[in-house]
Amino acid sequence: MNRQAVALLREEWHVVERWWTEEPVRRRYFEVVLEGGQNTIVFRDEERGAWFTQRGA
Amino acid sequence: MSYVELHCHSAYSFLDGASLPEELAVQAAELGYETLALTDHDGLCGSLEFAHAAKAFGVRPITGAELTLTDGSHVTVLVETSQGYSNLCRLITAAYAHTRPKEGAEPLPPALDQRRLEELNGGLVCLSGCARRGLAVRNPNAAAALARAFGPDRFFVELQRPYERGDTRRNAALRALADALGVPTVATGDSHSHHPRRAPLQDALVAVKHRTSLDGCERERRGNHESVLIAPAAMAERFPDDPGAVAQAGELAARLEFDLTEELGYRYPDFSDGDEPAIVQLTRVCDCAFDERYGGANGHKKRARARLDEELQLIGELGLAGFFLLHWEVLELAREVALEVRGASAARNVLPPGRGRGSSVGSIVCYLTGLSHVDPVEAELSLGRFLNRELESVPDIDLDFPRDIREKLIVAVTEKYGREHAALVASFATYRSRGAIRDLGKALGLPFAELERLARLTDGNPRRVQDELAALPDAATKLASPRWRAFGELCAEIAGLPRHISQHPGGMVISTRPLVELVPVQPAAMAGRQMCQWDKDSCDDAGFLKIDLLGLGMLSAVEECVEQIARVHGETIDLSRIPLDDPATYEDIQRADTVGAFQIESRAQMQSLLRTRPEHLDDLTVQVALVRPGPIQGKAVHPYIDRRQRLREDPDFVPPADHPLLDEPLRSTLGVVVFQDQVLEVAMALAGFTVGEAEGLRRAMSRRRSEAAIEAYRARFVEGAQGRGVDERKAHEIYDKLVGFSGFGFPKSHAAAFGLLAYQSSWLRHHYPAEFLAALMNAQPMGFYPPASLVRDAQRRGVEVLPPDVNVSEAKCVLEGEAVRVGLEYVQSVGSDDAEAIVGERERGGLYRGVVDLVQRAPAGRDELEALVASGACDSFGEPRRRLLWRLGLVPRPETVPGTAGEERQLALPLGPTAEIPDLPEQTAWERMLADYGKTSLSVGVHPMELLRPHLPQGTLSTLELPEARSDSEVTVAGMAVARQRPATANGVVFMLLEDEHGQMNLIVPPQVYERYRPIVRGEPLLLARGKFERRDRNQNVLVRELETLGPLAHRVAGGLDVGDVLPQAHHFGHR
Repeated sequence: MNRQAVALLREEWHVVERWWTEEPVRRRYFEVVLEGGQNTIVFRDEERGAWFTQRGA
Repeated sequence: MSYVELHCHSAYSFLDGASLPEELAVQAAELGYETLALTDHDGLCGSLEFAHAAKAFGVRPITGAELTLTDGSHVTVLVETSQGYSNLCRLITAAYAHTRPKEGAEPLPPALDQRRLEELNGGLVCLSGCARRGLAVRNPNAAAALARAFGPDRFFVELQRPYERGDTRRNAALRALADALGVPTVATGDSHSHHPRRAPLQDALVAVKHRTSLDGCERERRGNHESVLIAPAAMAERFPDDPGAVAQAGELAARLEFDLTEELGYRYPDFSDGDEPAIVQLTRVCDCAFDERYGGANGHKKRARARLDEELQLIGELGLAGFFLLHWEVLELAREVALEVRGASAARNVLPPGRGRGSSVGSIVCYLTGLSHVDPVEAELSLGRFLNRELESVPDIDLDFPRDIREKLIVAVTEKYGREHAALVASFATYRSRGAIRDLGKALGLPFAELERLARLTDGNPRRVQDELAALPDAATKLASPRWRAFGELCAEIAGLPRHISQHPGGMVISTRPLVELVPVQPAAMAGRQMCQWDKDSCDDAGFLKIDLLGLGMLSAVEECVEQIARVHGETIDLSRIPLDDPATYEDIQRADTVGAFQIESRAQMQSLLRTRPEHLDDLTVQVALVRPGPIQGKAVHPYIDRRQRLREDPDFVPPADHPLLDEPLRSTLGVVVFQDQVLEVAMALAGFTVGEAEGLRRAMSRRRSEAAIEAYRARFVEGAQGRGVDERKAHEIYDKLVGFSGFGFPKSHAAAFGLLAYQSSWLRHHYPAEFLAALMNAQPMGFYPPASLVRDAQRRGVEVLPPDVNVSEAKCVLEGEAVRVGLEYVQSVGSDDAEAIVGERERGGLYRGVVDLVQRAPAGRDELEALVASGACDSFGEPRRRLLWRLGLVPRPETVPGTAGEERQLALPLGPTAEIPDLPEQTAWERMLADYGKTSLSVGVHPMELLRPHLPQGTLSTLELPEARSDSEVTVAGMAVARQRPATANGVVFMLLEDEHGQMNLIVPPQVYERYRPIVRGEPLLLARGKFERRDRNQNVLVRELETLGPLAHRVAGGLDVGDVLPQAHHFGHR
């Protein structure tokens, strides 16, 4: 991630929301600690089939 | 040790769990669970249903509940022993004790004082609660107190992994708490549905529960779809750091051996604690009554004595004497209640306080103990189904009461046996299409008006809402929207799920052992009433004796009619002594002139009456049982009617049965199965069933969850029949008819009781038409016709009906000379209290002298007074309604003195209004007629069709002209829809009854015509129909080809009034 390996997976959580709208949300979130020591949150967007980094996390 | 789910919700966690207990059971078996616990919120409503379903699918059920404590925290409680089960029932009962502080108000949520739980912990295991609201999460100190009370063997800290943010931190804290308390952890899943497919519905239910939209309850929703029952191995994977907690679930489950399906220790009060054995007490009661009933010379005393001895012998053998004494005691109580309710009315006191229905009518012991009012010896009723030597459970006894007596009796029974020992049976309202459309549509934020329109169109089955949507004119737009698509899918998923608990119409359970230790008991909506958390099927499974105390509108009407007759004519009619062969009454019945008569007034009954032409009480017994879903699906109706006709033409005709072995059992019903008892007789005669086996078959047929059980009897039936020389195919064919008949038929004895009431009501209707009409109107709502049609029918038979009048009317409808005066209660928005107060003031202070006097004296609100004027109840003041309304607006009213809570009123100065009344136009005939319908739901004046008639297309036939038309000719007819019927048994055909100024006519709307004109059929009060006039035997119908609304025409003719919105809506029956 950002060309750094993940050192530690702190937590995984799932969000399924707004499935009744034009913009359904289906995500798997991961709070990780990178090798460099930063905490970051990334998520897999299952609707779009892509990975994202949570901004401001 | 494999994982076991110990925390699982069914749909009996109302508006939270999204799956039925059976669905959970099936899925658990599929996923490889050997054991599963059900832990619904604060209740055991679905526990017995779940226990039976789980066992049927090879899953061992554990009983439990998730309890809400007074601070709102949750704990999960599981039953280890039978003592624990009793404690859980008591705890849940206690949690509900204060949920209904005020009648009519919303109930409060159940809440359990933690100290109660600490006291009654024996035999229970406590888990520390769920991830969000668990006690350990919200209040660790309180959890510690519980842990001390339960001890380390029976208290566990609950770990859950719902894939929410914060799971890691929470579970770490919980592990630390468990260590500190010295108790183990246990993993649970908190499942809310059996399958991922239901997870969206679970979201929507949360919105419904919180009365908001999905968008509006993000905090309350679970946030993802992980709270679903998943395989044990998949569950274990969710807890990689807690293998011990996962294993603990399995180990704990193995300990929880309590089996709810086994004997609970229920006993009804059986009089075994008296000085004499119960059978001696019962014999004495019967002997005493026997001398009274059979004392005179009435021909069958000898047979009756033999029958009584035989029954008492059987009752003694079965140990059921206490059972009959219990009912006798309840009925004695009813007698006291009746005396209190009826007051000094001598006329009503001649009548018994209630009467039996169902199979109990076949018993002479019931006759003698006052449970039934049909002499079974004279009426030749068999005892078979009610009592037999192979009886597996106690028979049901159903008793019908006039409504006012029943209301008080339910409370009296609860008080007599004690609030810990008696309660009503529950009933669960399940989702049908209207509720589904409204609730789910609101959750999805769909437009209200469109939902209402759709709700009016649907036929009752939520699974078909998707098809209904697809058939809409704007289907393409709708289905392009994810909200509407989700709506259709959710409607299909919600079908049949329970929405809330309510009370059964009158079933009561009485127990010697405190009932509150066998099933939780909670207050019902009406003050003084309480209900247990099981429905009639669960009560039956538990072996509870159910006594049905039912309210029957016609009994109320008949009682009141007798009272009116006594008041007007000074005659006391004893209905048990009226002639049972009155020719005039049978003439009415044979002519299908039966609007308002009990059971034989519906459109289908009328059409059948014209062909069966009942001649005596036995015929009426068949008649009330014949036009029912059972005989219709059992293909009995047409053969019966045809054979009856042939028999009339040829008295030597011998009706054929399906097999010679059935000749005898089906002789009285011309070779077809009409009564439920005949199912038993057919099974015994054709397939050699024992009485017990046949009763088992009948029970399987009368329950809603037993298709498999019914099929299980088939092999035995066919084999038995073949053994008696019946062809295999024939045997299957007969069994199919029995299955078609299923539970939807009356036992003969029930039909006999109803047939008698049908006759008595017809007799009163013929001989006392005005009194009967007044009584029927006061007993509304009941029966097939709206009050407006009852009035028109009575007018056609020469009864004069007078409109409500503030200076003449009573609160209720009463006789005024020969005429019926409509009561003030019929004026909309004037309740019975208002009406009585207005009459009371008139009796105290004299007639109202005008509208000013009325306003200043009548204790009613301005809306009610306006309604009185608009309805015509003030026409006798001699001014047009518009002027009266104008005056009403100007009169000052007495004001309440502030600070006296309405106790003191400041009188208004009786000054006349000073403003001039402008010239107001007179009301037109249309306006007056619509005001009548609009304000009183009926009109005694001109019929709308009379006003419309001159404007109808030429050649439109009235009900007077229609019978003159040639059969199979094309006709045009018009009228006001009064009833609409879409029977489940008629393949989509809709039957309509139209009324005009002369009478009623029948329309048959075939399915394809219905589809084309559905909005007209369902919503328009005034219709024009074109089609073929069919005369078959004495029946006349118009087979409709085209329909038209007369709404626009009426609107124009009436000078721009909205006619359609004001006329009464047709009564609807059957599927929508």
